[in-house]
Amino acid sequence: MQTLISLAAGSETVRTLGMRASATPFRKQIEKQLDGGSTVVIDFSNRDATQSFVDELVGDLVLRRGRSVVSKISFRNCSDEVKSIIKFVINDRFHQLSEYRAMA
Amino acid sequence: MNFIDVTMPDRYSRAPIFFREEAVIDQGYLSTEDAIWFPKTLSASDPAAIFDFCNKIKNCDGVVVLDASEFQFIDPIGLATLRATLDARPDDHEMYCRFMSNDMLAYLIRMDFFVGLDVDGFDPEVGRNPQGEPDNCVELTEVTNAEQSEVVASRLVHAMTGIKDNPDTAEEMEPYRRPLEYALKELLENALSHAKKDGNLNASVWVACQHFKTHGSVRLAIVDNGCGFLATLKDHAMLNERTDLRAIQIALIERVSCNRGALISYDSDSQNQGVGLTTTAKIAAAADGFLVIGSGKAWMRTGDKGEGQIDDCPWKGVAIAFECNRDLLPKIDIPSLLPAVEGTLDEEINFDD
Repeated sequence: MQTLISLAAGSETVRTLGMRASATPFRKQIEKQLDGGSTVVIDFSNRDATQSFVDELVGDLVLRRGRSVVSKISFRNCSDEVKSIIKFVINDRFHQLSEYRAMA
Repeated sequence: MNFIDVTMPDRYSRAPIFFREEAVIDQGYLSTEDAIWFPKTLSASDPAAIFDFCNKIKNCDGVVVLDASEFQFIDPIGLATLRATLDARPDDHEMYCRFMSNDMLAYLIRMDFFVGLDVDGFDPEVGRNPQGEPDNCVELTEVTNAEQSEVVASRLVHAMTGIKDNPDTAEEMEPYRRPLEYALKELLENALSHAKKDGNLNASVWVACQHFKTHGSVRLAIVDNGCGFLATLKDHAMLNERTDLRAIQIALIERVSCNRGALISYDSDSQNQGVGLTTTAKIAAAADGFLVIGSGKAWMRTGDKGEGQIDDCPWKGVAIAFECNRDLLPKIDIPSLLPAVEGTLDEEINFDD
């Protein structure tokens, strides 16, 4: 089953999603759906995002659940800039996790 | 806070526009030589002067008398640091300010400097512009929690770029808005997440922004009175020297973070990647600008690497000024400023276009 999680909710004034506290409730929704066996589509609704927001949203998922979580989430309506930030966050956290596992 | 003898007709040419209410003012405050003098400017160009002035106010136990007769200019970092200082003073400690020019007073009122302060001697509502001044200055704002900060920061940037009052310009201003909102939110995220550590539960965060049309610069300021960089990074392996200056220096190194690690519980203490501050510094540099960072007994400026010790007037917390050339903002490509990382999982990341 696939679940859509839209980041469009909230003030129209917010064009750039930047704060970790904003990402946390979305991340928890994502986790709940993943735990229930769903795949998740995250709709950025053409909003911009900072690296901190994206890291809180999905970076920690990679750290805690490993590489396999990447295939269970997809991203929709992302600008090229947001796509690049998402790639940075996911790859950076994956490499961090790999380093820790190598040290263990 | 009491403003006394607000106007000095023989020193300033503009006619007085504020009227002193009838109040019993000890005339000794007008002439005391124990006054703390405002420097000529409170700005990022002289961070030591800001911290020195604020420290004198902080350390004065009794009645504080400020003399503003030489005071001519204040920018966002000066505003935010001074306000954070006044906010930390006990409510029952009296303060007097003498000889502030009408121009400076009007500017402070427009920037909402006195909101939340008990002020006598003039009406802080006279001269306030509730609509703000688009594309020029944006009022000083206290951010008290992370949930509020998202909307507050967006509002500040929209007001500074003129989008707030003229939504039709939103698309045109997008290249300016994007890097500014990114930088402000990364700095605010850092301040909110770190300031309240180490037992500083009552720490506050102040934000101010201004676009100086005359020379085209944009200045942001984020000031907290929390624990500071040295306390935040005290256990970091790269802190080979336990000084505030070294803590500021390593905070500006990519991936240096107080809590980057797989074992940190992100529900109680969210991990970060240690790139927010460095990316913001790069945004400033890409727009021909810089950061000025003060924390504890030191300050430093990115770019020319200016630095200084403020042993006699330490700042408890972190004060950051961001300055750049507004006209260069549209050319900034934020992803290119992030650290290089091997794209091992690129092919596995699904973009559902």
